[in-house]
Amino acid sequence: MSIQLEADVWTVDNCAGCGLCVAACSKQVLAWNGDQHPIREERIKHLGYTKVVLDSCTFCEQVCAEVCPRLVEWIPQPAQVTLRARAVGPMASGQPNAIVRSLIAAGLSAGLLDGAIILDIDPWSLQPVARIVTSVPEVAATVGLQYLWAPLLEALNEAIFVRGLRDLAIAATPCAAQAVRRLQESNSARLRPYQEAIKLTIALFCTGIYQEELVEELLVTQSGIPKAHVRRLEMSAGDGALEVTLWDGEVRKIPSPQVSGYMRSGCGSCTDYCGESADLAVGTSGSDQDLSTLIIRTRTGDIFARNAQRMRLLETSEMGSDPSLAAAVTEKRRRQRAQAYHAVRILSLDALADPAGRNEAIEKFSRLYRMPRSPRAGQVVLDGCTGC
Amino acid sequence: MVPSHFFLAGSVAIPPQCEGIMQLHDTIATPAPKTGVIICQCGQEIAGRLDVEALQRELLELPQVGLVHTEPYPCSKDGRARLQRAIQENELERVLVAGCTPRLVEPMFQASGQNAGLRPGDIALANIREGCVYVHENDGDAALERAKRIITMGIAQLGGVSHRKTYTQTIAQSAVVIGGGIAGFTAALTLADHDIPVRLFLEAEGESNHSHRQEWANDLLRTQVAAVHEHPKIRRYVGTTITAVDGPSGRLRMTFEQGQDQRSCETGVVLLAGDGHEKEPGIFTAHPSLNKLASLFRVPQDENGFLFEPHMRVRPDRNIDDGVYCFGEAHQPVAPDELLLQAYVVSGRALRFLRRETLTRSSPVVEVAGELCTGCARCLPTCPTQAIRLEAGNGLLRQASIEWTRCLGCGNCVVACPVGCLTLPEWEEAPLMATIQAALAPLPGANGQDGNAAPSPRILVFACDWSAYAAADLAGSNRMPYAPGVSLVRLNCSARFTPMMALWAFIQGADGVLVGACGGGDCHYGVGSIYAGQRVELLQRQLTLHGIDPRRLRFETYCGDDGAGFARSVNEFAELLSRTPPLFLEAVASG
Repeated sequence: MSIQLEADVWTVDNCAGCGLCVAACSKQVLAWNGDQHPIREERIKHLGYTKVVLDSCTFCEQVCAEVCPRLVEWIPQPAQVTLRARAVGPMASGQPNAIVRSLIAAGLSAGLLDGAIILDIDPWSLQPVARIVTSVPEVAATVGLQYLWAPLLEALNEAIFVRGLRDLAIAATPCAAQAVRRLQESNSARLRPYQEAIKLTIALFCTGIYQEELVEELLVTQSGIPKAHVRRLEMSAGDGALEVTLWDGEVRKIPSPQVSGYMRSGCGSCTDYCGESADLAVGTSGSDQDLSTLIIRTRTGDIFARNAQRMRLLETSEMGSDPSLAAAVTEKRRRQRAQAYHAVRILSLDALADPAGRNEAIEKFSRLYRMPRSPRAGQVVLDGCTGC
Repeated sequence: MVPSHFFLAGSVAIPPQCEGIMQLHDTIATPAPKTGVIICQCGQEIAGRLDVEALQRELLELPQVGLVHTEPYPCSKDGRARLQRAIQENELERVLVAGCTPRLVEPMFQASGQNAGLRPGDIALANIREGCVYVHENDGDAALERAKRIITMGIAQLGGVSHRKTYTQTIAQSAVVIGGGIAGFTAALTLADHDIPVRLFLEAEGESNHSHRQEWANDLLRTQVAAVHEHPKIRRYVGTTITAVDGPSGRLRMTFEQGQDQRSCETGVVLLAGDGHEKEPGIFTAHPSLNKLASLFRVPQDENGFLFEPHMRVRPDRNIDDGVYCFGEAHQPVAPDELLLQAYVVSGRALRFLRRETLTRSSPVVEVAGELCTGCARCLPTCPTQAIRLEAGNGLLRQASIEWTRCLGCGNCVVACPVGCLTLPEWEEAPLMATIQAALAPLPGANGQDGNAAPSPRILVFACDWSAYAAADLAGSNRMPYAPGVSLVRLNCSARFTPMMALWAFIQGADGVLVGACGGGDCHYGVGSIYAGQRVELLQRQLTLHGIDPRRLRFETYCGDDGAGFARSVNEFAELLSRTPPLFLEAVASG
């Protein structure tokens, strides 16, 4: 149950922010309150003059822990095909978000999808939101993921249970695709509606996304740009700068160093830069301005890609060798180091309660922290306790 | 079916790819550095309370120890000369001086060591006076045990030390003054008269929005407007917007927009004179442009929007960046004679800064191992001076870089980094962990046998140098006894405390861990103690989730002059812990 999430994900700053635990919770007791991870709702019972804090999360089928992508270590789905791609037709563009729009629009038109959940920027509040789209004009109106965070998968409940959608595509960051992959492998009956409804996952290449406060703080307070003047917000993928297009045509750029400080801390341990758990992955890594890279990882992805090509909304071409995709592989090791530290921390916490595990924890700790070897390393003094 | 994942949490093996990484960092067996120990007798202060000969004998048995000398006053002139000779003759790589508190003598002995060819980090102090013999006034045996323990900790620390670098940089001999009025013009004219080229940024031509009640002020303003126009060393920029400020202190790079052009310039000092805003007669508010300036130049704003310096008591008119000054109506609305005075004072300070010509830093500055940085940006918000930025790396991930001119050396970022790519020389993780281990492990006994472990209850105190450690020293000086099982681990700031240190201490057998920090807003580095408090709270929560009583971990704030408070709090903690079962049995009982 969510105790495990709290101990192994939330308190160690590892939450991806996908929102699936909040959506799937069988009692709907998880919610976001502005932190970097969900919180359990606190219910207080008044008994006369005393207050008792009730544990709102109690034994259930533990669906939240069943679906959390951060509780497991992922084996990447290898790329079946890697292509250069471009959106063509009425919304022609080489940008990754345009390709996402093409794939979804084509899927909707062909009846393969009846809806999609996309991370979008609300034009009024300039805040990132999870947008449920069910028609091609709605797709065309979205800006798409701008690497600003909103918990996308929370919208699943509305999409599935309120609007009754049954053939959904999810287009978001790799962590959402991981969450869906975890979802698909569960045996829990409670999760079946979600499993049956989600047909396709598309992930954008990602090394981390930014908290939504940056819009208010950098744009409004520091740069003095009122939200009403902003026509479009876009995170320029290459250098991580925030590009602001105003209604009068002016384009302002808020440079990357100011933006960097707003990255979500939970992104720091994610090694999935290229959507390895999604059916399709799109990004600008390794391609020039007018083309993006499209990676097809599953048969489902292949079907949707071909569908978009047949509908003349997507054009693909051969991909040559690419150094930045290779960099994505080697740079995985860096964030895996974060997982090693994380693992030692959990091991150490467990070892406190388990004397037998203590020596193993000491050994792993010493190696990771590169401690000079001491003759007494690894021995623990027990005051008469045998740990029996 | 091919598994897509395996479980990470729980007491299961570390996943295969992590194993590989950990093997990368296996310790290579390096020979321990040859360490010399100087036991200070401090006249009779130490020698009269402790069997120094016995201590010397037992220390000589340690493998890394090359020599052990006793000295009546190593801090004296010939004491230091003998130290230098001993280093050179015996080719010592490290020196541990066991005597009084490092807060008194560390810089002096480090300088002596440097004269003998060692680096500052190669010399360490073991506090066996305030931290040992004074605490055990009448118990020579307890003092001996504790002294051995403290010295063993010091030797462990010296085993893995890293070294600080020295940084220098020239200061650009130019100035930028932002804002007009009497303050801005006076400063600009003063600096220009001293041969410093000045770039003067004004909002508007002329001084239409400035009218002082006093005639002389208005007259002065008029002459100054003319003088500023004509001075050969002053260049005026009217109606420009400053878009970015980066670069090191002393060579700040400002980018600004003039109409359609984007220009940039480098400057040694920046004087923020600002403009007041007389909303209604007699009511001044901060000009809205101050918001932008505050964020660009990293200057705090008070609740009314005026700029102010971070440490008004201790360092008035000095800001995060050396060479950035705020005064005049940017700082607060003042009368014109005060404006004149402030302008002259600040110009003087700016000139003094410029005349230094170079900026040097020889205290520890955080370093980044670029090839390990994952671009996660967790370190950025923890830096009190915004000294960290992320820059594009070679591949996908960005990499952190530290602006040394702004780094205070608090180590808050080091703790926030999830991959340990940030290090603070001389306060590195490995030596601190080794010190913790040495504090709790059995002492080396005779004939290679194990000696005694620290007496129960074993408490590890992570003591911030400015608060808890100072208080502990004072407790010692005032002969206030505290529990023998207490070991002090000195930290430069409580922000340097990482929860893994507490976990390591518990695993090694500590019964309790105490983090001692400065209270409230007293942290020398700004916000370090607040982070330390939050980290302790989080770890307490984690301990609870894993079935361990969180009261074994405490966070206490101390004033550096409250020795009695320190002694009282650790004794109370020890008393509480002596009534609880050892940590190892706790989980068995709670199932």
